[in-house]
Amino acid sequence: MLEIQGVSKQYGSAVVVRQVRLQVGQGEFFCILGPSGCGKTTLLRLIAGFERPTEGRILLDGVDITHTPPYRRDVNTVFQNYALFPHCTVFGNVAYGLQVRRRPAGEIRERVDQALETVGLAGLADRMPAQLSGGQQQRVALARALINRPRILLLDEPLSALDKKIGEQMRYELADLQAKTGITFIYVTHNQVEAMSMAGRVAVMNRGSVEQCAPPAELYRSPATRFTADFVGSMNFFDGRIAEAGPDSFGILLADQTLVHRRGEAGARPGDPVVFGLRPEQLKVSLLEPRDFENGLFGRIERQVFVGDATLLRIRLSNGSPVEVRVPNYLVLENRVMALEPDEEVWVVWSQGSGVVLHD
Amino acid sequence: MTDPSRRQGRFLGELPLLAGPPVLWLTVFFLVPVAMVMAFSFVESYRHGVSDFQFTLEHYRQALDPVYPRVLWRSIVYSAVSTAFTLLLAFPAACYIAFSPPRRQKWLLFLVFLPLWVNLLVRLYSFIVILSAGGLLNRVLQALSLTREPVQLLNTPFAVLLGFVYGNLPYMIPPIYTALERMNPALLEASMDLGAGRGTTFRRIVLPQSAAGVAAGVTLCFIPTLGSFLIPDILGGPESLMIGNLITSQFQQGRNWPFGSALSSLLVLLVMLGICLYLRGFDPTAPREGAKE
Repeated sequence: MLEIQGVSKQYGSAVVVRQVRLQVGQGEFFCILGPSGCGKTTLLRLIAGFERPTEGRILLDGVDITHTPPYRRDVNTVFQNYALFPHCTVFGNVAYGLQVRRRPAGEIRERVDQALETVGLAGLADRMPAQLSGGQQQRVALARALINRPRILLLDEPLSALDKKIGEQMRYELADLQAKTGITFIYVTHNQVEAMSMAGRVAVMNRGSVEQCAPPAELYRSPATRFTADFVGSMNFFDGRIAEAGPDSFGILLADQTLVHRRGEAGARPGDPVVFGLRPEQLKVSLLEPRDFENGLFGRIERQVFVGDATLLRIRLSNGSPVEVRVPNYLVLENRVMALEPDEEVWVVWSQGSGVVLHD
Repeated sequence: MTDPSRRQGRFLGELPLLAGPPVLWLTVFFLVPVAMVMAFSFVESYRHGVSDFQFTLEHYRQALDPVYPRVLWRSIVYSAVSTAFTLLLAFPAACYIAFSPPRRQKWLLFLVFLPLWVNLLVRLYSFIVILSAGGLLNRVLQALSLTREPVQLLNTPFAVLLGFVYGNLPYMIPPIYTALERMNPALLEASMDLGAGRGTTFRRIVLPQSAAGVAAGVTLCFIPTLGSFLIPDILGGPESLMIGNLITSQFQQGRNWPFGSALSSLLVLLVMLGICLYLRGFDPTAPREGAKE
């Protein structure tokens, strides 16, 4: 439905968005995820029409809208700080889109009531925006955009200004709202938990480019690049070498200590360097050597960080590189997890099937 | 941790202290003189520092002679017309400044204030040079063959209005600029996003958002113009005499302080009445944040 074809945006010599190609389907909850300054908001503004691309085209339902002004695009935006009109009541804000399109007054009243009902603000129509809480303002912004029944709703970090609890609650409400209305959502955020919990597909952006575009689980399980692996969740990176490469399996030697076997094609020749990634929750610490179907590296506990539901152990491997292991607080004795001492020498162990091979 | 409400409470407790000096200042230099002027207006006569304290309403009866209300009415019309033209010129200028890049904003504002560095009297004499029969404007008009004879520009109502508009611009632009500059630019994008074109966005977002600034600017221009005497004195003629000129002449050439005081008192009352009506109909603080906590 929405097609972004090789879109770039340049300010002077700074390239903010670089050769982005994306397709978003009808009724999709699509998320653009990336750190601040990665160009995700600029990409959103290009779709909304507030910016014109330096190159490339944007198509909506097959129609080129690259140079269509924002007020003629069937696309509405929920702004980061809501941008509610401070001199208008809640009613005035929500009715704005219908009023400027000169809909009859009766229809406006009916649809505004309905929209406020949908976002749970019935009865607050006469308030001024300044009299509302952050969460309520957020809902007004949503109602104001949704009342126009746009083809696409763009949301620019809509939950970033809210308290954590309210933000979490709004996540579910947004997902429900999207499912109920069937409107295509394009949601920009730097918060990977928001992206993972709501989106059907996530595009990870870094330095103006899309690094990977996939459903959340796939993104987490098999990140395509080191950046994605590190930005979505956290990841330990090990430098390894291809030790053996057969037609349907290959082996990677990590830290000159342990050989990891993988099925499939290596995509590289023996001796080539690769990066092996393991997530902190895929690792465990053990006083025993790795057994069958396990790999392990030897190291010394450097630091323990208590985070409530788990303890993060920072372990310095014998080759000098650090590893982070997430240990669930299943057994805490006298304030020590698993009775582990600081400075104790342990094995970092993982199941042979875990981990991803990254080529860059 | 300090409780913010308690801190605010302590701050509010110190407020009278902060308000003290300005209250004292206004009492000594505003309230007392106004009271004196009002007192003078009821005194029979006051010459050479000697007065007989005879209470009379004679000066007010004299002030209501048709001549004086007519001059007062003319003053109101001149003030209104000149303020309207000032607003018409100031609004686009303020928009331009507010939507310029920050560095240019600073320079443009500096240019707006620049004329205030030169005394108004000096600047008005330069207007004489421009508007006189052999002046710059007439020469340009003749060079362009628009007129054959020099046009009478100086000492006309036109010159007075021109002077007012010119003199008031530095007071009209800054408040409008401030209001527009404080406006969240995302509001304009939100409006366009919701389907409003540029014209509708201007009418429904920019105008209401600038209302407080316009109100401040109009007040700052209209009221001083109402009582001004310098500009009509220098640029005007007999038919553009304003109430300010009448009052000045009572205190200077006329030496009729009580009558001048009566005229002044009427003007002060009129302005106060006007402000009260204006605030009732339009509270400049209301449309901005809008909220009553």
